[in-house]
Amino acid sequence: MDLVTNETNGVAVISPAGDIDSSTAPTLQQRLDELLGKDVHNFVLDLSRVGFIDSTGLAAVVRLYKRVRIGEGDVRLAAVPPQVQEVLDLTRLSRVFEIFPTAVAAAASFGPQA
Amino acid sequence: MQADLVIQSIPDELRLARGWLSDHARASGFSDREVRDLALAVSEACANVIEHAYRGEPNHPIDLHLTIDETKLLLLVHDLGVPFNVRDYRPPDLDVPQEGGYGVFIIRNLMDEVDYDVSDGTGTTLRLVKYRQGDGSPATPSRSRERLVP
Repeated sequence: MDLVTNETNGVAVISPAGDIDSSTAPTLQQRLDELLGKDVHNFVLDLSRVGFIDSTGLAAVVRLYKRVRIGEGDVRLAAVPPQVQEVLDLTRLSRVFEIFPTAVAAAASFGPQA
Repeated sequence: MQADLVIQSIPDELRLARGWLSDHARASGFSDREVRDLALAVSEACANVIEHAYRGEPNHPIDLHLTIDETKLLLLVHDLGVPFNVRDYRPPDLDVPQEGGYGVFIIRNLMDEVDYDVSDGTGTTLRLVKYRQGDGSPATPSRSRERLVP
């Protein structure tokens, strides 16, 4: 899985590409765990390059969310494509995650001192 | 039209199943929304077979048989693994984010009919039906049903 990560002002912006299913979710999960291990608590998932997500991909995102919420962190989603939005709506996870039109807007929502 | 596909019980094959079903559904006039729903449903179905029926073991077959006519799409997903017992299924609590358990819930909500047949004693045949709607709207939940053929 092509996975681009940028960290700025304590916010990690993760930009996976392609499909997130049980063949690729472990790679995403491993990268998220690495960042959690580095004490990163605020995450933006830029989904603009994601074509498909299934329940395994959702599980990776929810797992991250539950861990960062133990502290003061959050997971915010950006550039959500239609298929991902439909799954988020179906599972009601769209009520859990703040969704922004762009990764820049999502990262900025944490504020300059995040 | 009818079509068949056999995939192996490894996650890398899920993309193949999604593409195969999407191509046939799109070519048969299903809307973009319906095609996305079908791709997700077959992906969840095959992922469940890999994880639960075959317990994560590779190199087992998952047989997909597709029939599309003027009213509906019928997909049979057959495996030779541990039979699925629908009575063990518990829907996820949607008020609390879950780290698992959405797969069958998603299938049931995207398809119009969902049946598990374990009657032949050689694994499970999952029967999925989606009726043509043509307006791109999702399956109506009230039409969804699920039953176990013992």
